[in-house]
This record gives sequence, structure tokens and C-alpha cells, in this order.
Amino acid sequence: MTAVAPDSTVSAVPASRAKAVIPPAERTSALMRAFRMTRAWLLLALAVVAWEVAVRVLDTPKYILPAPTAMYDAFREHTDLFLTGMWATTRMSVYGFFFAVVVGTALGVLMARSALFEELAFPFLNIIRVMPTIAVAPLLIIWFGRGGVPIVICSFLIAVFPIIVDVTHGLTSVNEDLVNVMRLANASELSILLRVRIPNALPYLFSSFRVAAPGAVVGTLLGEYIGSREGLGYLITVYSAQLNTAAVFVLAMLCCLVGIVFFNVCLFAERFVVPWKSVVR
Amino acid sequence: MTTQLSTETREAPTQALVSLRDVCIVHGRGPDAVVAVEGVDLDVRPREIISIVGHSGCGKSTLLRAIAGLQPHASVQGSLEILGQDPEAARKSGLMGMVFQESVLAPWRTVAGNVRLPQQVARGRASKPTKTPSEMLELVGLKGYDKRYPKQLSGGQRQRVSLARALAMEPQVLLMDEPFGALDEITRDEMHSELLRIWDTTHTSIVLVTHSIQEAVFLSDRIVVMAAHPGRIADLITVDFPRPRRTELKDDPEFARIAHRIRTSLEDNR
Repeated sequence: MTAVAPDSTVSAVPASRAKAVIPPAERTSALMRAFRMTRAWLLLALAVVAWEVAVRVLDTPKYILPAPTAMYDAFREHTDLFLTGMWATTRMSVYGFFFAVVVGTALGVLMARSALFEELAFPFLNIIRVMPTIAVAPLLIIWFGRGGVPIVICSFLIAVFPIIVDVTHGLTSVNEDLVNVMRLANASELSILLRVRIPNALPYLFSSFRVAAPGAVVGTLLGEYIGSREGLGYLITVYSAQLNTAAVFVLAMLCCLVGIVFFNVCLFAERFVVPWKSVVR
Repeated sequence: MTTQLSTETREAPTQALVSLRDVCIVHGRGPDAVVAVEGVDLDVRPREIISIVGHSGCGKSTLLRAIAGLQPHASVQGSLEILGQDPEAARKSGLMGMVFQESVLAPWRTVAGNVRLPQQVARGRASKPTKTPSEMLELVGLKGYDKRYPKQLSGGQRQRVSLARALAMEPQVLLMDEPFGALDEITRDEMHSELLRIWDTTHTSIVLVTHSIQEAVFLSDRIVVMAAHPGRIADLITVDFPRPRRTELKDDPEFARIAHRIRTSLEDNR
């Protein structure tokens, strides 16, 4: 240590002269960064290669487990048919989802704003909710024929309930003191609904889409399975009856693709419309 | 106005802005009924800062909400008037602004959008507020923060926005329910001086509910000490420090003496 302070009245501030050392920035090569960004995909590619090799080495029958190359061939063979089917499924899912959003939001608003409506409607909604859609679908086909209507209804039925529940929750979970601020300005109930309750419910609505959007696709596939002349669900019934397993695999992957696109469009819309909050379920 | 006449007969020099006579507040009915506040007489004068201190659950927040016209009409007994109007009518004509412990800002609106919100929805007011959100934000020391979002602000800054939102409506009475209770002590000290500076530029009276004895003594002209079960006024203390008050006042022996009196009064009325 250096010399002691000569005057005892000098305040005893600890006099360390140590300077902090700033660690240098981390250095990674471009190749390493590219690897880090793509490693999940590389793993997937590796799995596909392993699959192909395993099928060839073990000589598995084609109708049990087709090789990825066989699936690719099946897709090449029926490209137009499959893409038309995918487009039909997408369209029906969009309709079902759209009606689910409209009806679900309307019912949610009614349930949140009117205790009487909630009391009267709740048992009926709950019955419809627990009723398996697969049990209702044949009935819908008897009533509406083998067209698009029963398919859209199936899609709607699966998508609508998460929307009702979350919209109701979003409208009622407003901070009461924010509502009080509005009351102190003598705001009407309508402007409280439009300017406070509905914006507050938007993150909840979008969070319900994470369940409802893939649900709408599942509902559509279900409807197509049971009675339709188009769509991925219908094509799966046709090719599985023919034991064309490669085609069924391709169709299943296309179903996944539709679901993933739906989910991500909603996720993107959520970030765009409600940047202030994300209700994670 | 007839009310003016009646208050003049009661109190000659200053007309009360808020006048409470025999106010009782009862929650519920029948055997489950709870008496939250009983027999409160109090006048809030123009341009006065009055604090209500008391233990948790002594009914001080309930009393504040009753003044704001936010308590169910049936639960409030006695006479409660703001400039001769009952609380609900006073609320509807925009005489009151309120700041809560939480800033309760709308996260989807910008800071300026939050200040503007009450102005956008206000109905039935004689005059439109004259100050713009930007001017209000400048007043509370947040110049240039218009386009920020609440989550980008600190707790103290959010509370300033909340204050700007309440004052944007140019209220006669500003009701504050533990407004600095959620802030850290350094920020709270800063907000005390800021509140006095801002209050000085307005015409408003302040009714402040607080847990902090220091806060009450530093800010108030008068302090109401409330006792619980049922909530009632236990003591009314006048604080005569001249204004403007500076933070150094908190180290004044007289300041400590008043704080001590409040503390004793609170302990006697547990």
C-alpha cells in the first residue's frame, strides 16, 4: 500500500484504483455461425438419410414403410391432384376458422357483458363442446349432403370453443381501475368496451388462435374423411384403401404443412397486431 | 345556489370543495354486512392537500372511492357533496381525477395516447380541456416521451403519465390512492417534490390516501388519521409549514414532531 493519509479528518472512502477489464468480443467464424443457424435442419436431413438407408438395408416392404425417395416419386406422380387437394383443405379451413372467429368473438362479448346470457347459454355450449365432432360429422352429412357445408361446420366446431373461452376471459380480466379512470371521465359503456375491454382482449384472442387455427385444419380433415369428394382427408382415405403407403405419407406431410402455415400466419399476425403483450398458454 | 348558502352558514371564510357530513359506508346487507366507514365529517377546501393515513383495512380507500362516486350508491349513507353535487353527478361532470397505486395505463396506447384517453371518451362536460397531451407530459417532466409505450418506462415515469392523464381533465379534486406506494424510496422522495411542483401550476385540491407518514407530513395542509373497525376519524392534524416546501424539510425537528404525533395516534387507535 502507498502512504497513509496525513490528516485523520479525511473521510474514509475506500481508495482502490483498480480499473475494470472489459473482455474482448466473442469471435466466431462465418461457417460456425451458419452451422448454428441450420443445425436443427441438418439434424432433420440426417434423419431422412438414415431412414432411406435403413429401408434399403432392411428391405422393408413398401406398403409398411416406404423410403423417402418413394414418397418423392409418389408426390411427383400425383402433384396436381395433391396440390388441388391441399388447396381445397386450406380453403375449407379458412372458412371454418373465419366463422369461428366471428361467432366466437360475438358469443364471447355476450358472455362477458351479460351474466344472464352466460347463465343461460353456458350449459348448451358445454354440451356442444364435449360432444365429439367425429360423432356429429355423419349427422351433418345427412343434413347438408356431401358438399363443403358439413366440412366447414366440423372445422368451425373445433375452432370456436378456445376462441369463446379466451375472448370472455380477455374482456373480463381488464384492470378495474382502468375502467374506473374511464368512469371518472364519464365514458359510456360502449366506449369502455371499444377502447378498453376489446383492446385488452386482443392478446387473448390471438393466443386462442394458437389452438383454434390448427384445430380448424383438423376439423376440416375430419369432415373430408367422413364425406367428401376432395381435399387431403378424402385423398388419404382413397390411397390408404389402395395400400399406397408412400402417397399417404406425403398427404400426411401436406396436412402438417397446412397446419404449420396456419399456425405461423396467426403467430405473425399476433406480433403485428398486439405487439404490447403476448399471453402465453 | 342553495348549497352555497348552506355551506356559508356552516363555515364562514372558505367554501368547502368536498363536504362530508355523517358519512357511513356499509358493504353488503343482513348478517354479513360490514361497516367500512362510520360517522365521518370532513371538508376539503379549495387548493388544499389533505392526506388520509391509517392502518390497512381502516376504510380509507373505500372513503376515497366514495368521494369519486365509484362506490355503489346504496352503500353510502349521510351527505357527501362535491361543489354541491352528489359524487355520481360530480364524477359525470368531470370534477374529479384519480391516480391509483398502479399506474393502470393501457399498454396498447402510446404515452400521449394514454393521456388523451379520458379526453376522447368524456361526455357531458361544460368545457373542453385546454391542454394537449404533449403539454401535460411536459408539465410532469416527460417532455418528448409522447410516442413511447408504457412498458418502455420506469415505474416512476409511468406514475407521472398516470398523473398527467388525471390532470389533463383539469379536475377540481385530484384523488390519489397510495400513488407512490409501489415505488422505491429514492423515486418516492423525488415524486413528492414533483407532485408539489405540478400541483402548484394547477387549481386542484388533492385528497391523498397513504401508508407513509413522511409522505403525509411533507405534502399535506391537513392530515386525517383514521381508526379501524369501523373506519372513523381519530385525529385531524394541521401542518403549517410554508410552501413551497423543499426536501430538506424532512430533516426538520418540527417535521419529526408531527410525524411522531401521527405515529402515536395510529398506535393508540389500533
